[in-house]
Amino acid sequence: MAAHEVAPILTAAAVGDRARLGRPALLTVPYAALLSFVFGIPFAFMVAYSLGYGRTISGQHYVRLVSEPVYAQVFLNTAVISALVTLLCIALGYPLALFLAGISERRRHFVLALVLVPFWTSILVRSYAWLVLLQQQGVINRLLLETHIISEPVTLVHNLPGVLAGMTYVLLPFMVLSIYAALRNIDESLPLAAASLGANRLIVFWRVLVPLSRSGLFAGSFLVFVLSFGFFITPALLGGLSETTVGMVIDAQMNRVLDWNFGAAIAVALTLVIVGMTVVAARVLDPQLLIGRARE
Amino acid sequence: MSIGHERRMYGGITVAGSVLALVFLIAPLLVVGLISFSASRYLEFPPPGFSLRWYKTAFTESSWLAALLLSLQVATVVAILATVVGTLAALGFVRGHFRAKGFLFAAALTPMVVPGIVVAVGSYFLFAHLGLLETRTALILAHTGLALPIVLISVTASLRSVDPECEYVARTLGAGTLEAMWKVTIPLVRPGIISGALFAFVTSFDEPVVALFVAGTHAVTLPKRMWDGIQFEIDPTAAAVSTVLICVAVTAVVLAGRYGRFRT
Repeated sequence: MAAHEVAPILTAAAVGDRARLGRPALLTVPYAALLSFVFGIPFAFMVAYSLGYGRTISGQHYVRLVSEPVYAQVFLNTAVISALVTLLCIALGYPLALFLAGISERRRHFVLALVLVPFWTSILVRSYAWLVLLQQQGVINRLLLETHIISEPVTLVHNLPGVLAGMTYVLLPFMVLSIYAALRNIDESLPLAAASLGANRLIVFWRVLVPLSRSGLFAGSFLVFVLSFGFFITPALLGGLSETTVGMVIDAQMNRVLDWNFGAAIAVALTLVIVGMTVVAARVLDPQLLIGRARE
Repeated sequence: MSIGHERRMYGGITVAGSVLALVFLIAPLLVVGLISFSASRYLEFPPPGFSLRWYKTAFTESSWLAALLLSLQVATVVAILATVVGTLAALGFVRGHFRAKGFLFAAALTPMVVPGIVVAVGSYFLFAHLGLLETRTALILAHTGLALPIVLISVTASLRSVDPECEYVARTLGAGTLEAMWKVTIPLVRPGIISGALFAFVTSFDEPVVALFVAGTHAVTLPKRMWDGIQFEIDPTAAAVSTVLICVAVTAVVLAGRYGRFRT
């Protein structure tokens, strides 16, 4: 027998061996166990508390959540803020992703690092940085005062612009990386072909690159929207009363009002909203993600 | 996708937008760094003088130092635990065959989609009932849960580019299943493991929300201490600590770029 005939037989023997020694699938058990303990059980507790565990079992907390208009308003506010943040991230992120995709390898590593360093920096630090910039006695006001552009400090924080600036800052890398990944998947020859057929840069961008990187734009937008919906730290530090998000309300109920049941109900509602959005997005995005390559 | 000079994909507008975006990304970090060296007790800009006093406070004042040490301990344990469990799971998902693998993999990633505040509330209930509030153990467990999906994704991605033939060949040469995995597959997957471990460490070290709920006064992590510092103190010590954390991020990015999977 030749060597190439022997090898498959030996391989088959080894594979048969594996069936006796146990399936690799068992290796996922520790992960599943840990996650069930650290996520599954807490979620079960949350549902239990939301239904009145600890006091009287009832659905009253959900009824309250749905019937008192202030909470619907908070959810709506949070959605609006998230939508605005998403738009800002697209506006800033698309050019950067395009730039990244178009430059040389060496420069790209450097620019990517500039995107990754904020990405890996603590959310708290990044939110605090904007507090430092936007405060009454903060950097921007100081600069404007020193250069006599204004005579009194402008209120730049504890309001909507402050929150938008901070949240856009935190989430921009997600958008950039998503769009960039999609752009990278585009076959090089396509924009070249378009250009050789006479298309200028704008047309190449609008009619070739944008449609083909659509999945990256959708994935990035979904990610940014969903993440900002659940935000707590950044809006708490940079927003005012009218920028109260769902996360902040949950924190208030749990840590100040100490109404654990109601807090749990809001948390469950938030989770359901986010899971709902994820499911919808998965249906829209999944086919897109499969078509990572360029189409004719 | 790099094209020749004359056929660049991007024009003036793109460059302008990119520069704006990059300045937007980097300037705040530089400003914080600058403030951290300020000689003034208040957040003044431009800083009136140069001083290292806030760094001295950050590293010697007992509450800051204790928080730093606690965060280091917790993050290290979390990195090890999450990497081991996550790598095993990645091997299981990629090499194993079982029903609903796709669904289960997606389920394994849920911690990434769930908002931090929800994780914090649930964790609070769990640890309150276990009597583990304000303990290191609670923080380690919660943070590991948050870090696991990241390790899973990182190692899985690395693993997918490893030919399973390598393992089979090792086994035809006499190695057992586990030995083949340990000596052949794992070294090939090392970049993914390293990236995952780095990200797990940083995730735990920087984690603010669960810490706010679970830390209390007896298990204060660095983010928790920073949160208190930002709310109640006005001196730039928080800026010094922030700069240290920025350096941690820079280090992580450099290490990941060099030894980890270079993720796009």
